[in-house]
Amino acid sequence: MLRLKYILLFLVSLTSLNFVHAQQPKVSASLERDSIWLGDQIKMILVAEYPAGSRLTFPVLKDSLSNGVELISKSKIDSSKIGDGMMQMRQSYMITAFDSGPHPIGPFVFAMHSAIAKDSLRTNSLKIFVKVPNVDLKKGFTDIKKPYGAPITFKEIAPWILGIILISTIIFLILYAINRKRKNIPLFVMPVKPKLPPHVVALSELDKLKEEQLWQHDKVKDYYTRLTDIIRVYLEERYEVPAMEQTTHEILAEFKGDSSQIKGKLFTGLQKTLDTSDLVKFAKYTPLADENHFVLVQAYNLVEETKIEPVEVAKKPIPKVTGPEAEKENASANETEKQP
Amino acid sequence: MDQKVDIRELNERIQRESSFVDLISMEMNKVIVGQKHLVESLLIGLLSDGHILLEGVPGLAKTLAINTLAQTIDAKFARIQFTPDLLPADLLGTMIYSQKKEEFMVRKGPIFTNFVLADEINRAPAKVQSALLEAMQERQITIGDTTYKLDSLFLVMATQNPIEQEGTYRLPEAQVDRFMLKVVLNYPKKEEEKLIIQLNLMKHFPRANAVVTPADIIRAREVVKEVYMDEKIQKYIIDIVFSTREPAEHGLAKFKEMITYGASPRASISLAQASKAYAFIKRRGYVIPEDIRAVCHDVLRHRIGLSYEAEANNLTAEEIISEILNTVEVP
Repeated sequence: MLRLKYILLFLVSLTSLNFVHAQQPKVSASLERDSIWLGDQIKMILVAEYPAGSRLTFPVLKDSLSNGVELISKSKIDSSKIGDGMMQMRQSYMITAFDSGPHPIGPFVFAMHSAIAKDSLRTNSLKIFVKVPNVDLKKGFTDIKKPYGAPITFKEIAPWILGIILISTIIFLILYAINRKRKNIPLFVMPVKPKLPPHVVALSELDKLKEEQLWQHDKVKDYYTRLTDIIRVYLEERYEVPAMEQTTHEILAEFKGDSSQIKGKLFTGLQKTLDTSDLVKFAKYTPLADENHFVLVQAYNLVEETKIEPVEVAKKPIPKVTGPEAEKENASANETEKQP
Repeated sequence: MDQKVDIRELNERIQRESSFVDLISMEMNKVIVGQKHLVESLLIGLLSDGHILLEGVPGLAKTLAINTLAQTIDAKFARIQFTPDLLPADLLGTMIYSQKKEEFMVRKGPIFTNFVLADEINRAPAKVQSALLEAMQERQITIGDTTYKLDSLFLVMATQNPIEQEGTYRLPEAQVDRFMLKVVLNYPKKEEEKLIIQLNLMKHFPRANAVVTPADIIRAREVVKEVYMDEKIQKYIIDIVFSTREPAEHGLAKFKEMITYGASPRASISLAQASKAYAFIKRRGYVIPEDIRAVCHDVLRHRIGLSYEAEANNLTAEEIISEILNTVEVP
């Protein structure tokens, strides 16, 4: 039992010793390498590890660290937690030297303020050896070398490339827009659907109107409105007259006269259709069933009689050789074509 | 809103009631040569109870036309020459002190009549113009403490001279809007002018006879109100009026910078009333798009405000209205 007590005591004391060791503040100084060429630059790093509750002040370094060693720049202090309740602070310095030979640096003194006491911590000393290149003095003085051109990276030229592409695109678009405007073409043209001939559209619309049986379902006004719209759109497309923006009187005036393609019975039919439509649309006129049928027939007649059929070019064999034999061959070919 | 109208019966009534239109036209044609449009516009104003602004150079029979119209209707007529020193009291009337009766008495002005010809309305200052236009709108006049109703048949025809602008007071837009029609008169044709000379060289200048009474006109106005106007026609009116307000939305983007203000709702009302009167004159009991187009210029030309840009481009209200009529779809 007593033996077990001693073992436990030993373990507890060992743990507490380790804890005490972990809580010890520590400062250090280091160099990237221990020798440099004259005027070369080297990084010096100061690191401090200390308990989280206390405050540590970094040494304030002068421009000249020692005889011949100069401070060029310093980084910001970087602090981080490193575990066991300890913090780490790190600062790097860029230094250089212009005197040859060995140069001692440091030690550097950190001030630490804890809740209990105020203390100072010293880093290790550093030593740097500054080498001098071998110069042949017999050759005399030479010119100062020009700065070396650093290789250009893609990151450096990328904005320029993008800028050139962007400016080229803008210039192209401006020239494109000016060119289109000069030619009186809209800037963006949507692909246009192939337009159907006006008579095809009108006949299909009339078929639809017939199928819908509007007047049979007491929609006489809608029937006449649709019918006149079909006729007016057809006239507008076929004869290029603004029939949709014209009154009945104006439409009829457009086609009055012997030179018009709509004359005789066709004109009378159109007149009767439009007049009846006006009465139905604007005067509450109720036409008879015969009249409803009549106006539709007149509309069909108008479209059928005035439509333009697409002209088909007849394909005839072109005689290559002239002469009596060739003529005979042509005649026989024509006879074959005439046969049913 | 579907009105129950018997168009056939209405047509018959119109045939009966509108017989005087031909008589008036005939009597006026005895005195006035040409100016068919003026006579038609006077009848539209008369039948739709709307006032008319006449614009034309001197000597185009503006006064004679109105005088003759008054003669044919057997109505009272007064001509007031507007001058810069005219006062509202000269027009409306005032209270005068009678020493004999030892009291103030009302002396009614020349506006208490059936037909008023306000000659060169833009020569009078704004206060006189306002007094007249207020009387036109309210159809009543207050002198002292008493308000006097004007006759049921009360029509103001004002004239404006377009060539002389010096020393004139331009009618404000709000005041001009109160005129139902603005009729622009042009010179007569050669043949018409020849007839005018012959007529004036006659020993006795012809005089129109009274062929209709004010009561007939008032009865006819009631019939005009009954003239059927379909919803499609109402929509057509609205489309036209809105094209003056929002030209870009109606396919007239080129007028966006040309029009400073469009026609008011009063224009829509006037267009509807005038087209009904026109249909009545044409012996129809219903309005068709032709009627709207026939009166559109007269109703709208003074209700569209043109920008400086329009004036710089020599663009007139006439051209804008014509373009609107050529763009808005007819029902």
